[in-house]
Amino acid sequence: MLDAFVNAFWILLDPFRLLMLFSGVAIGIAVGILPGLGGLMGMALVLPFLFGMDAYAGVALLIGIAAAVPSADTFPSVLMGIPGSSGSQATIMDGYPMARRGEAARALGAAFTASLIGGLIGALALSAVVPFARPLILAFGSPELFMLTLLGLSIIGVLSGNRPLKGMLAAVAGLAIGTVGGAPVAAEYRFAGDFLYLYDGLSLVIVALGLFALPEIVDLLARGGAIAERARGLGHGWMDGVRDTLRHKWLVIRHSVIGVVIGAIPGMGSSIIDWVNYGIVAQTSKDRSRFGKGDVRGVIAPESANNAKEGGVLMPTLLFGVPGSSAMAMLLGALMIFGVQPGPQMLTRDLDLVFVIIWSLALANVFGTFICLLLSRPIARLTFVPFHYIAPVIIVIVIVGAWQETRHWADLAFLLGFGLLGWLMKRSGMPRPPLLIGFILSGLAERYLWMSYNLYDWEWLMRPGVLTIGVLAVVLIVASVRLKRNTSQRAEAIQMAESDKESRP
Amino acid sequence: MPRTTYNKIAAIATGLVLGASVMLPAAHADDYYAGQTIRMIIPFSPGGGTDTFGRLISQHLGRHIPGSPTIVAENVTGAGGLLGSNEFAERVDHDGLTLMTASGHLNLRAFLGLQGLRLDLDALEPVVAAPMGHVTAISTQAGIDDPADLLEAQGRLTKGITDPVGLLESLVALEMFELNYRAVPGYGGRGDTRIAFERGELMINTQSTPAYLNSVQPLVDEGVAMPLYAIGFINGEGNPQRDPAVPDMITAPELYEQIHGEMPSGTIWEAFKVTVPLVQNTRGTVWVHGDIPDEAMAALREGVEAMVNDPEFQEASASILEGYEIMWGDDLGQIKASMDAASPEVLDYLRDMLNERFGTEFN
Amino acid sequence: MRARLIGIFTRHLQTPFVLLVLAGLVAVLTISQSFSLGARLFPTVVAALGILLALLELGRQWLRRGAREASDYTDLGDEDDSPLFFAKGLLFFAWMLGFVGLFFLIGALPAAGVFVLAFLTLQFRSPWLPSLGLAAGIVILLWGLGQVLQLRWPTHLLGF
Repeated sequence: MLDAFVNAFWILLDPFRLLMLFSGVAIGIAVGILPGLGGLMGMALVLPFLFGMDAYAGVALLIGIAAAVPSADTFPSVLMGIPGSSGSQATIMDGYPMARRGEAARALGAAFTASLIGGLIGALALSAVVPFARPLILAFGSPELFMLTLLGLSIIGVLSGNRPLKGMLAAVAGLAIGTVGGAPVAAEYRFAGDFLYLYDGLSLVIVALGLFALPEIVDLLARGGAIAERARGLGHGWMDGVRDTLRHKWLVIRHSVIGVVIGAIPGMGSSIIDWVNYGIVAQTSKDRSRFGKGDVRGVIAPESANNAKEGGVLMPTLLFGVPGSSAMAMLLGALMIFGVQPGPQMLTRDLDLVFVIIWSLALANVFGTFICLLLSRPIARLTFVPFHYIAPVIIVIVIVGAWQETRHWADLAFLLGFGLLGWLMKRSGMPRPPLLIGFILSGLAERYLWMSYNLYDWEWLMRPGVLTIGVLAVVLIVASVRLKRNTSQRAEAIQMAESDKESRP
Repeated sequence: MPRTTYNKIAAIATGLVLGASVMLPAAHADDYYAGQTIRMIIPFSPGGGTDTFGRLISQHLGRHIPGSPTIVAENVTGAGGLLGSNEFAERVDHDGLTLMTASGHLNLRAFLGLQGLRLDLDALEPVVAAPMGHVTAISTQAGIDDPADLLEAQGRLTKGITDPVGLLESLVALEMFELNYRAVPGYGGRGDTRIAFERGELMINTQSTPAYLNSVQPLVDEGVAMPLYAIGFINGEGNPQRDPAVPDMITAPELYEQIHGEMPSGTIWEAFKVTVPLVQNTRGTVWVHGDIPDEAMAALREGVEAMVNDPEFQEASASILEGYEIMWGDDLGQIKASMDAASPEVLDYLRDMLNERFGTEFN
Repeated sequence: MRARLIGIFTRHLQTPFVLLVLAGLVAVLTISQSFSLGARLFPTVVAALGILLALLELGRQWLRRGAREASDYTDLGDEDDSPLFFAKGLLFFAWMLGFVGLFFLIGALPAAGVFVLAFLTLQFRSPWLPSLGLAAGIVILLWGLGQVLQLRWPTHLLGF
């Protein structure tokens, strides 16, 4: 086993394969930086070239892209509050406010360092756990998966700030919007009529871009000026960020592990991972007052998780042939081209390929995040350029990118529609992240609820896994409420002390 | 005009006409595709089995067609393959410059007339296809240890449903045996049903034969599962044929014969004989419009023949076809023949079953 | 007069918006009843829950009428709520709609160039030279991306 590990490194060191790895990283960064284009597009792009390569080179290319995209899509999240295609969504919550305060370089520095460590932890976890992962993955049945969606929904509390009722309403509205399209357990296409476009439901990319990107662009234009409201010395910005991450190293480790674990569970999809991590860090931190206003921890947690998840999603993909994300579905197709069959025998028959994958993951993370760190300083300068120069470029790219989804005019109609909705939500004080979470989890929650019932009638409620996750969700909610009360009590106490001071002669 | 100039003009004109008439007969198969780009629509997401087959063909077929056109694969996804199929059926020119790779199940959907799908297979011609078999297994928790005891299986015989048309061949087989199974819809794909089967959530599972050999066979070896039957193929005479990838495994009709002492009969058997050949091409069928110019059709057929005999293609396709042989030339006739052989009663039976049990709607 | 109307509208936007959401949920509830059981159970429960929450929220807004609401969680708090801000926002949406229209009318690349140029010069009175430069830049960038990423362009109505 150890010699396969070392051997794989030498296999990868072949110049052509390294070139493929680098190319993958370059493609991943290019595709990740531009808002609206998904990492999936980068991988689909290189599919034709795979036919002429050997398996190691091909895998290096694909993993290079897959690992670089979650790093690079931090750029639009931080700089403009534009969520990435599947990762770097929750980063907008605190990364963007930091950019608005002129701390873009710091946010980027923290994010990329967290991404680097997270990605390496993911690769490490993959190599350590994959021999034992099979029974762990099998432990999650439909009832447990349903409880996980409830867990995901429970974090909307922290995302609603001091308007819990509006947050819950937004989440439920998101659940409702998510029901458009094919019903999971019936052959019915809900709310679609004869409009074939809606048979698959609304696209997450379009909804996320519309809700978050368009209102920010419009508001920035209406306000005038640059993204950063206050000028700050750029000088050591990104080094501060790096130091921040290293100071919070336990946070990085904790959230990387959570990212790997959730990624490894097949059937949850990968979009929810960084929201859950953001929710957890916000709910379990003692001083929560700054979350949503530019707390660097709100950047570190989701960023480490969404790079670590790549290690996680590889587990069901390689061990079961069940893709943990859409990028993994492409990897499976590539493996088929190379004549490799995913399954338990990968650990015996194709062990060197497995380790090449792991090494590619590790190296791609290193190269990718270093390149991003180098780019972060020049790109962060854009936050000081008057926004009306940047806006038309971003608008064009977002609209062109969104249209690539299905190349149907409805893509843009819904993009603008959700943009208007998001903008109205901002004006009326309704938080948007709960709506997105509800939308993401809607299909999963409904599906697993039905399946649990169909498989086990009502006995599924008594399963140990179900009860454990349920208790965990309750604990998190209770802890967050109590911490909130402590925080506001402390804040009140401070205020009272200060007013006492002032009233003393 | 002076007489000499007029003579010159006449001479040149005559020369041109003669030269043109010499070139005209040469406008046949060789030139139709010269310098052209063929668009291959794949109605599924990249990375799946059908997509990989379509891409394999688009990589290799181009250079074997006279004129060496380039074939570009394009994924047009949505609505379970409906968006891409409808585009191919209605919005492209019938000039032989667009092909489509369908899966066997998409063929079945078109054949049954699934609501919203406007693909008419009668108006198309198959270019090349690749088969894929399926195997059904059962968990040993059902308490039987021989497929012949199938009807004595115990417990809730849950079967995961991804999309009923996508599993039609296995459902028809279960109906043929009159097995009392409980359908559990909601699974995202066959991979999910496989994990659920391994987890012990589902009792009956059908996988493509390569997936069975790869992922379910180990369970059989562990004693957790047991193979029941291969769906098998149906040959030109309407008789069951063993799955070439698992030639020792009994096929469903043969198992029926073993249990009941005679071959299956009646509408359900006719339905089985119609469903299986269409689904046999699950790996992929490349279609072209039936009314393209003759020289285009000839060029395509020439290209396929050359491609199939090309050792480079054979080597590249081996891993993708996973033990099955490409269907081309006359073999393809079977696809249309089995469609033509279907009687209206069989179609109604299938549509009614899908509608009553699963709510599927048809045109 | 018009400014004051817009001002009133803005300050009290939260109520109309919740009413809008309520209307949407009621629509979901009613339409869902025409589906089969497997398809209607979840939307019915969700819509009913949503209607309840919306009514509670309306009640809360009624009880606390007159107090100012903080805006979205992700904001930095100093959002302008003036009618001018509101109107400008709609203006920029109109610009985006214009680009989408151009996109389908004359194709992606020409639309991008025209849009950037028009946006900078007409809306922000930017000097011609940098605007032209940026417009040319975006067209080149798009074209390059189109080649490299094999992006697809729409078939535009006024083909030229």
